Amino acid sequence: MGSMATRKKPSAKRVASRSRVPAAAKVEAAKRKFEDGLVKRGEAVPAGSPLPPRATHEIVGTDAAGKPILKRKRFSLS
Amino acid sequence: MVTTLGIARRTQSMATRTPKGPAKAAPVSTSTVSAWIDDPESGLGRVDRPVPDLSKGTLKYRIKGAAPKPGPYAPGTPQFRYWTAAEALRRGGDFWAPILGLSSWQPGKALPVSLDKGVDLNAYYDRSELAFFHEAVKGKTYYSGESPDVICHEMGHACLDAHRPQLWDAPFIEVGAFHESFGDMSAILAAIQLPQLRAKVIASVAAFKSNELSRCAEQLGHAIRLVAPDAVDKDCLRNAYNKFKYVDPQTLPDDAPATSLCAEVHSFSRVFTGAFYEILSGMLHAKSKKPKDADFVAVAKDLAALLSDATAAAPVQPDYFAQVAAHMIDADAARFAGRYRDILTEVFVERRLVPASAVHPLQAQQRKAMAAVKAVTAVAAASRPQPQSRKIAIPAAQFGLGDKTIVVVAPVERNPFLTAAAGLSHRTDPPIEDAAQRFVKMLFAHNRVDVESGKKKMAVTPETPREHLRKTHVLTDAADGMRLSRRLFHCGCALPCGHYNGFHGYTEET
Repeated sequence: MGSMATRKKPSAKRVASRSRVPAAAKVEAAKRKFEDGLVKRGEAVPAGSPLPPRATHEIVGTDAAGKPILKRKRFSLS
Repeated sequence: MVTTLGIARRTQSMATRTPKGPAKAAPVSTSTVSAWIDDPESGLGRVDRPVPDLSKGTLKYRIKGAAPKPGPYAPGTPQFRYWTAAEALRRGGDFWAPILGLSSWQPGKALPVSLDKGVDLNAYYDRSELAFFHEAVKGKTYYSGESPDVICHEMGHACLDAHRPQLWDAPFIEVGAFHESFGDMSAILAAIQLPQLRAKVIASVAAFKSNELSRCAEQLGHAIRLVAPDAVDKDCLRNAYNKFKYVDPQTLPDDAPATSLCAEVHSFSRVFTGAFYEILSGMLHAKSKKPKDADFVAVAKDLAALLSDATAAAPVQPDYFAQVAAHMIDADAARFAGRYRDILTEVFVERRLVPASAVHPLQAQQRKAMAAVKAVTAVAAASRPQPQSRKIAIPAAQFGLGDKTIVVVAPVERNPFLTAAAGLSHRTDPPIEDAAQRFVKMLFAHNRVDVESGKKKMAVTPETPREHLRKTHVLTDAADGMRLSRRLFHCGCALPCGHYNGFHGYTEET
């Protein structure tokens, strides 16, 4: 019998609820790693001109620390 | 660009060979179009399909430029490329729209599509359109928009963007990588909607092998490999059949050959796509050792529904892979009553996407052990260790029962097959005494011990006081002291409800 009534009830505890909210420092580090990689690989370029092949982000300015502010323009296949 | 190296092309069938000379438009029928079943270099060839209407359906498209008259055109013609792209777009949109609950795109009601935006070996989605390209490499021109894999990858980006626009500008590697993975998963799930492809790969998918389905964008991968040999997988752009396991992308280099993982989103996407394909295989295999066509269709739909639920609920965080994976497990519990929990947890834990501590810690080991258990059941039955028990003496004074001893008989059973804990249990005895002490203290603290009647069984009538029914254990006289025995299981509810003497069981309130 595979009815709902007889099927073994799965654990009531949600798996997702066991994950922790990341610390602010970890979030900032993840953001920096992502953005540094985009710039290093040439996938983030200054705004105002057509995006070259494989670029996905534009650099629209810099923050107070001099880090580039990136905005996604597209997703590319490769 | 180097164009003179004599690199051998993969053998192409007549159906996939690019014809020379001008394209000949020779439609025989206007009720069907000819289209690739899968990628042009998958080897699966063509199929006749109903003429797709991009202006109808829940998700609409608008391919820029004039539409050629429908018909079964030859590969290599612009008309063939148009209709093979239109067919893939229609098929992919019709698959995702009801699952994701979509009726429009980020750009609007109809998604614009440029089939040939210029020169590149690439394609993109930019919230204004899907764009595809062409480029000549070593004497052959490759059109990215000719591949249903590429079409349905980009369409997958647009679908996920409509479903979860918050992902668009999230500045995390795992979010960008998941978007790429979703594109590849979209290509796979949309391909499964074609019966001709299902017939070809069903056995291979159930056996968890590399095949035409797992290989995404063989032709474009081939072209890129001619220019940059280590930039893509050896047999396609990205193969969903892979062994990549999760590592924190913070620890990865920013760039690496395709043979290794790096922190670039397409590279890292293969971790999640690999898990997805292994789960697809496991779900199919779980349906039947010889799954049928209908099983394949059902499993693809179920897996897509889990992705839909999970992406709707998972918070946008740096550990987005784990978030989606955990929400898929939870979505399975909610939507399918845990039908796929075993395979989801096994794969996600094995690939380190979800920590073992977040799911049943022994699930993977149990699953693997099951085959061995079944094989040796007959032999093991003769030599199976008998259940053991241990007497634990607890001073009764702490419970106000004078200078006596409470004797608790604790069952001890070790299963050498089913639990990983069995492999560790020789190192140290489990803390049975401590557990027994805590348990007895809890019973007294909750007034669950009958210390007066001295009788294991209790007659129950409508007049029996409610507090008597809450006495789950009883002390009876024995040679070595006062024996503590269970009398009943209590359901934990406030009212007496006939859950007496264990005929309706529920756990103790521990």
